[in-house]
Amino acid sequence: MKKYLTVFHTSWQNEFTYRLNFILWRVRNILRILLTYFLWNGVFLQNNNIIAGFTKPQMLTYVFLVLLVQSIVLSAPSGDSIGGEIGSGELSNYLVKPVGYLRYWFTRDLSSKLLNILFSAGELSILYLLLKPQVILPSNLITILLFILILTLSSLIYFFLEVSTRFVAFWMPEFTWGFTFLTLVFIETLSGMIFPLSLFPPFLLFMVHLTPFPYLIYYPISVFVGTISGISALAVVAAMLFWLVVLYKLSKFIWSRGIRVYASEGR
Amino acid sequence: MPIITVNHLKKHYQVHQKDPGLSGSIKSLFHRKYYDVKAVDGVSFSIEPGELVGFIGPNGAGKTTTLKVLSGLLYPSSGDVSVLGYIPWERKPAFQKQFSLVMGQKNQLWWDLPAMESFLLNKEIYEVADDQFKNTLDELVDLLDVKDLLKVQVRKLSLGQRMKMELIAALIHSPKILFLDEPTIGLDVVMQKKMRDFIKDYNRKFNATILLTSHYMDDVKELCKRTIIIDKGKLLFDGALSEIIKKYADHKLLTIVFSNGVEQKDLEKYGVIKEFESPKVVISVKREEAPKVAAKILEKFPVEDLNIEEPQIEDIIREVFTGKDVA
Amino acid sequence: MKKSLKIWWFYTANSFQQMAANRVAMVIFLFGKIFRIAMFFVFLNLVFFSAKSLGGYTPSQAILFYLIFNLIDTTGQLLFREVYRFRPLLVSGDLDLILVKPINPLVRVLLGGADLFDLVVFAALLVILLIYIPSNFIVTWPFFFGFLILFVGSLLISAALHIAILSFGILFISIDHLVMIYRDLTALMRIPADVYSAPLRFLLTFIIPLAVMFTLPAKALMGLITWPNIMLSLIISYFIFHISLIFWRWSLRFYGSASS
Repeated sequence: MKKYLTVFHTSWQNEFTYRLNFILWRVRNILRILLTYFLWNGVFLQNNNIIAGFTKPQMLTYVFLVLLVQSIVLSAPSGDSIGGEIGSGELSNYLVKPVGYLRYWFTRDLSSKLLNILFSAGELSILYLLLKPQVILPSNLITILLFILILTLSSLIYFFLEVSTRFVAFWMPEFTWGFTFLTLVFIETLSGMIFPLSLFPPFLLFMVHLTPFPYLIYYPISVFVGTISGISALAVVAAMLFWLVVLYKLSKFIWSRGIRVYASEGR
Repeated sequence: MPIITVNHLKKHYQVHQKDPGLSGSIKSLFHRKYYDVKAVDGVSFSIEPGELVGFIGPNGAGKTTTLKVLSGLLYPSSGDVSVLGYIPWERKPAFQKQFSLVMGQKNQLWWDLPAMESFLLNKEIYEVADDQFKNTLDELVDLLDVKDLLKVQVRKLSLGQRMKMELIAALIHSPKILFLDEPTIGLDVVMQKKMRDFIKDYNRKFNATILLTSHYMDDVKELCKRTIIIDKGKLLFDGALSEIIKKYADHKLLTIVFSNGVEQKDLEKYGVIKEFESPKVVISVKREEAPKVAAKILEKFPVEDLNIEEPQIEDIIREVFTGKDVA
Repeated sequence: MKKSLKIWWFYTANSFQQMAANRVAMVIFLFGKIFRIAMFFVFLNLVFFSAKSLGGYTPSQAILFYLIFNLIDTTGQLLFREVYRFRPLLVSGDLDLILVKPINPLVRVLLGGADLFDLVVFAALLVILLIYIPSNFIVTWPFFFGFLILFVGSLLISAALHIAILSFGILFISIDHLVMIYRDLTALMRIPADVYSAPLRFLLTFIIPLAVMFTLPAKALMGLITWPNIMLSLIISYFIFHISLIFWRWSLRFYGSASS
């Protein structure tokens, strides 16, 4: 009796152990956007008119674009690993080798991003066919180039933001999760993932612009859709460059301080 | 009346193979090859109360798997097992209260709390009476000499001190059987000895039945009168260490110190030369011929000192494992 | 049973002690949790700015739905936080050391890591509710009792879902995403389930009963649900809890059959 249970289960388990992790990750990505879509769908269902100046199709388009931008900008495995590597002492492995730690993780992020984009392309196509959002591709070459530029800047900003947060591990390995959590909450609420930031009340809008978060999701989408163009677009790029430089310097600074404190504990 | 009986225990797994590299990963997404692992393949033995038995074998031999079946963590593929009159994998609380499992390098102590807290927790889990708890605790603390460390956070203790606390936590409910899985792994030589001494003392003092697994010969040499050798899931030997020597060691070692230099090739006809570091030489000679060869060497060469010894247990067992002399 | 309670209390006290020692973390987490809760009000505000109702509910009702959602959600995190730490336990094999002990492993693995920070948020939510409700609603004793019964039902469902996650963990090991998927799904219930389309509502009532878990208790408090429905919900809750336990026991058998 136990025999076939064992065989059944073992093959079952083996089938799924790592494939499942990967599948779940993709599922979660899609699910998050689907759920936002359901949320808005539910809200509009009753009203079928305009909420804060947006019609239902417009909001749907926005949600769809969030998925597009998020899959490119917000994918970086470095986030998960760096805190752990510092806390456990594995960082030592890198320090003795002639390879820049940041550069190493940046490269890994790039490759993971590529993988992510590949799969997202597939998922986006399916969702597009299912939901049929009204997405108008920008026809203007300048807009397209601008979009690509801004996506690149967003990704870099996200990378250095994450990295700076994780470097907290140098001083307080126990708090890495705390800061990670905080960044997560901020990105969830302040980057435009649920609704366009233009819907924020004025005070909140002002506060949000003191942070780099709007530039992760909201502004890339705005450029894509054409809400922002010309001079305003240049202003956005300038702001993003500013944040990029700030975060880059910040991460380098924290790194140089942190590495001195680094006690190589755990090994 | 044996306290543990194992009858034709078998435990098989199916493991999948993956070719290395990226193409291997992609391939494994679609089609996986499985092969059978016979972790335990028909093992039988029985153990009387109060015995101190060692399971030795190379890594992957099936020792830990056997132990896990005995403690109820794994279901066997086939076979009967009885521990303290219970079927282990039914995991009856009455059974679980009477044994303890300690796995080397795995800990059950709460990291950020003093060890005492973990002891109190186990007291509740194992339902140990207050006075018995106090007595056992005092005895163990005494035996391990950790009186001042009880209120210190576990994370602040050294590895050796932590090991001691782990032992107390595992023994606070005075288990009748103690399963020790690789208890000395990762410890330095001094700690290893202390651990072994403790196990010996505990077995003697409390008459607890102790089963330990190890791939370190020294553990077994020091502790176990009775040794069970397992390899590739099969039981190769069950008996006293001295028996192994007699059964498997068909040779003896002559250790000779010469007073003058001697050529290696001159000695080669007497036996297998194990060590040649002039003036000291170690020759392996067939058991029956040892006295004769010794006499001849004394006759022919200038010998300062000559010793006839049993071969190292390690060497014997290594030969057993490489299949030279299987029972 | 009494022993399990005693040991649960032990774990909880320890967990709280540990968390309380970490004051910086406490500030960070409390801030983050409250910030997240507060930000949704912006969303609600937006909706009600344009439309006068959400699924037929008034703004104050919607706010109550959201507050009750947070109360129940926070209670779940408060009690079952240990589930988030299950994978390391599995991977390291330390789970074995838990399984050999004469105590139900769920006490440790489901309930062993009560979250002090969530307790603080829970208390804050209670205070807010105690202020908000009297000034906006009339809650009679029957309403309140109906709510309490369904609140218990919610905890049963929450426990059931977490136990299911643990069972999946034992079977497949990689459950971190699963837990987060659970959180993503529950986030749907920040607004009353009535708002969603029929098929989605069906899914959320009978397949993964999140609507039963979140929306119904709030309705009970507002007197919007009949007693037969309350009893039906309780039955569903108990049923799903029972199934999850069976699933758990079943997965433990598999663990014993095939782990190495």
